[in-house]
Amino acid sequence: MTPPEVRDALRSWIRAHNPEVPEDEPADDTPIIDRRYLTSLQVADLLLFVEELRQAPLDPSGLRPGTFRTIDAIHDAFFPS
Amino acid sequence: MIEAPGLRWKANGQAALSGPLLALAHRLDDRFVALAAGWQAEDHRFPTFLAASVLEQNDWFRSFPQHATFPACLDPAEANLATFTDGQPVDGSGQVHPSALAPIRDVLTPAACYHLYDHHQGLAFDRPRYFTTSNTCFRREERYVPLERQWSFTMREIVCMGTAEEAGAFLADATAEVDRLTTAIDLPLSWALASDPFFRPSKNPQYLMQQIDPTKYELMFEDRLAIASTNLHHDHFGRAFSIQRDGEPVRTACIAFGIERWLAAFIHRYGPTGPFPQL
Amino acid sequence: MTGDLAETVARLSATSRRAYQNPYEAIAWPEALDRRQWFTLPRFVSLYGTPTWEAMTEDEQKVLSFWEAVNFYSLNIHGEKALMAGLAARLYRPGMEAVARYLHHFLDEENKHSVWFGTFCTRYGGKVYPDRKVAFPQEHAEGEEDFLFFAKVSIFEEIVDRYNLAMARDERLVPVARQINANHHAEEVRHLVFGRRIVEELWRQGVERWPDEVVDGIRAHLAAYVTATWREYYNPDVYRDAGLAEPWAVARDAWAHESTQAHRDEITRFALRPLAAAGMVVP
Repeated sequence: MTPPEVRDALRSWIRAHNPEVPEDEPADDTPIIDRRYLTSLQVADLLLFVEELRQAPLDPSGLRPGTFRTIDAIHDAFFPS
Repeated sequence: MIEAPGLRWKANGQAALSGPLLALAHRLDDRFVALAAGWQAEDHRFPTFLAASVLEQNDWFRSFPQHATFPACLDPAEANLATFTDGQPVDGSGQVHPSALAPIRDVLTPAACYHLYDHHQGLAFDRPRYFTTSNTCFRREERYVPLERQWSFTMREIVCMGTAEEAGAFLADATAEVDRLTTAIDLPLSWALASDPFFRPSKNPQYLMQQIDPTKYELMFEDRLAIASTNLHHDHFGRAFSIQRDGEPVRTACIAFGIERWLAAFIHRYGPTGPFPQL
Repeated sequence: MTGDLAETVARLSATSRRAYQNPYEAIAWPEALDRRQWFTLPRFVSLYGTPTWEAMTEDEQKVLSFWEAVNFYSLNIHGEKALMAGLAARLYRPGMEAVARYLHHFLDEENKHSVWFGTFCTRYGGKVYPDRKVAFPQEHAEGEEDFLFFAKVSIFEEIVDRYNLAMARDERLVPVARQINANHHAEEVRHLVFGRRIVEELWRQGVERWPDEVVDGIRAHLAAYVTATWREYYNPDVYRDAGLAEPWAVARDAWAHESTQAHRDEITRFALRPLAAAGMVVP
């Protein structure tokens, strides 16, 4: 998957799990935690989605809220180029 | 032998309750009724007599003949009544000398829930149904102990009629709820696998079934006194009483509480005058 | 604190003292275990009733039941770590003085349970499955955080207890698994009783002063917590260790399958009953 495809997949996931996200959001740099588009209770589910995109498990130890601040941040943390 | 204010023991294996002990009995029953409300169980009050044919339908007499108590009446023919009155109706030892007896068609309730199966005989349900009922129950025994083993005692039951899954879930819920209750009041209790006291067990297919597929657990106080039991009957009563669920015999399960035995447990644990814990 | 809670704290503390145990002696640990035995009852295995389950041989199902047990115990370890941290933070804190004597027991017993779960996972599975939860910092109304902490503990433990109770009783299960479940149930009942009482008390105090949006937020959060808690029972790591291909798809499909939904609904209904009765969640 190309980086834009990964970002779009993450965007779709967030939209699917939060019906209240406005039409054109979240952008790659939208603060998704501050806007409550992603809650703490959804992280584990999101991580499974990330793992499936990567087709590899990831080590969740050491994850911080900052890892999930924006779509860019998630991308950079789990899909290094 | 237990002694407590509000308990008067009768030589015939029965207890009279009053005062604080009766108040505790009421509070216990209220607590079990509140538990039943968790399933929106419909409350029923039945008579103390049960048609013997109802128990026969379920082969009860062959399984537990030793426990049966029958209400007996004199044959009402005037000559027969005269024979009775002309003799000595009751002798000095307290024994009754009846003349001829009328045919016996009833039995004193041995377990509260039988009335519920009879009451719903022939019905078909399309959802799980929950019931509760309390009755004075009678079990003839060789010897009696106040509050612990009595000829007549009070039994509160909660019954589920549903699918196998619903009956199983009901028992799991009920067991968990009772654990919460007994832990909160700090009674030393544990659940133990049990079997019913069948007459000539080795010849009774129901006993054998119970050994193969354990369906009865008793809540034991100090490992010796069962104060409650959970029972999974599979389709036994559904078949015997033609009660259906979605075209199949209904599966039933019940939890039963022996009120006097709870009183005994409270007295042993907290003393005859308490103070007894809130319920 | 109401008299009710005080009496409960006193009784539970007395029982905990009586039941005090050495966690290293409570369970008989076999040297090694054949994984082709039931470690989790079939109907409590996450894939039970799904096409994947039906396609497995009984030995494969049993091996899966082993890794499911490792996952169940791992979930408990992670739950207990968060619980112990929360209990420790509340020890002798203003407002919690009255329950401090019981919090000591609670903390002590949770640590012992983690010893059992951790021993099983590391000795027979070679690992504890990692925790995927990440907490985001959040602002709370007064009293809301304590309420949510104990309410979530209560939900988590009620669900676990249903598993424990069923598995403690079933002879099909390997003895060590039965013992772990039986011991855990016997101890957790006290925590559940305490949990119900303190949750009722904190709700009673809070609901009088919380504005509607806080109450609505609490209900939504607890509902989301139930979903998130259950989601962790469908762990792709388990399916990978059990030798299943496409573990993430297996997890997704199992989660969506109607039979697993029915299983969760049944247990959730029970777990939420005391909270629903008090209006803390809307069933």
